[in-house]
Amino acid sequence: MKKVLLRVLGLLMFAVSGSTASAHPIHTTLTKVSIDDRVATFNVRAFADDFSATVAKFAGRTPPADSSAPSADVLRYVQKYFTIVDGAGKPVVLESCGVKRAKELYWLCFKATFPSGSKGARLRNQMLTELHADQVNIVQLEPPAARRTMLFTKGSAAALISG
Amino acid sequence: MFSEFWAFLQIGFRHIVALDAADHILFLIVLAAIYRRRDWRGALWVISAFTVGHSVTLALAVTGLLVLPMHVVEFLIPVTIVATGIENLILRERAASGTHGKHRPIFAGIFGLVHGAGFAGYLQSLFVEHLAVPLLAFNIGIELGQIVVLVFAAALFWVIDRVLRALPRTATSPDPFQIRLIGVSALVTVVATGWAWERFPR
Repeated sequence: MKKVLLRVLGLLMFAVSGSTASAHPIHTTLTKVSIDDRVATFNVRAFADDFSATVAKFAGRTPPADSSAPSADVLRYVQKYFTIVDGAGKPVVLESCGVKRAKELYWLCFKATFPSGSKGARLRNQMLTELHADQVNIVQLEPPAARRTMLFTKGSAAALISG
Repeated sequence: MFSEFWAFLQIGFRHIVALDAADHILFLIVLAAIYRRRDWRGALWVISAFTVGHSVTLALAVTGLLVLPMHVVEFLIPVTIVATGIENLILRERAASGTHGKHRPIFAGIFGLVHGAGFAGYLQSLFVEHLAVPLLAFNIGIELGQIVVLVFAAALFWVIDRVLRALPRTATSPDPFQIRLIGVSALVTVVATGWAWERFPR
């Protein structure tokens, strides 16, 4: 009995000690969305180390030590993982309106134009979910739309941002 | 407003009940390990002190009033676990008779300050404006997560105690509660010592 208990304890210690060598960070991004009848602006804040690593992996490069991320790669990455469709379900192409690095954060700006109106537009934010299973992306709709906060996790469906 | 509150409550809750939140979970387990069902008042004091402690530093750090180097906080978190585990081992005889350290709530409050700084480290960069609702909701989510962890810990301790009581015993066998307390505290202390070693600021 003692031997069995010791083995169970040993296994438990091995499992737990191997699981957390470092403290567990909050894996999240924050996006503020401002949307009117024709144009939506997305301001995304993402932690530089994670974002740089995932963009580099997406572009087939080794993650840089300085957490840099070339703007062209950032746009291609965001266009794949941060998708917008209009009311008819047609994909809307995102355009960059700036990428800024401030200490440990990337501040990204994107715009989406809806020629036939933004009503019924939907957003799906899967950024960094391929890197962290527990990634939670926060999206906040700002005025003039009704203020609302949404969460996107791995596999989350698209959510209405204008309607 | 409600959607924002709900969203941040979920983030706080998930942050505690996630598998990789093992350091916070183990701290709660080792903090609760010294109590039995009849000691619930003492446990409540200690858990409340821990909650007050981490709420204070979470608020101070997220608002930028307190800036702590994360690598030091990350090292101190397992140190608090080790200290609590060792305290359990020292107090095991008294705990068996239902008496716990007078200073335990004070230590729990101080250790809560360290854990709160750990929660805040990654939030303060994101939330540079409009803090009140996210902070309150995140904190409530953490509290709810802690309650879930403690309920599971209490159930686990109950099962362990039952199993130990069911084992054949002699007149000189140690109290099953002490065996559980020593086993849980020693296990958690060893694991946390490993983490402290790995996170030691270099």
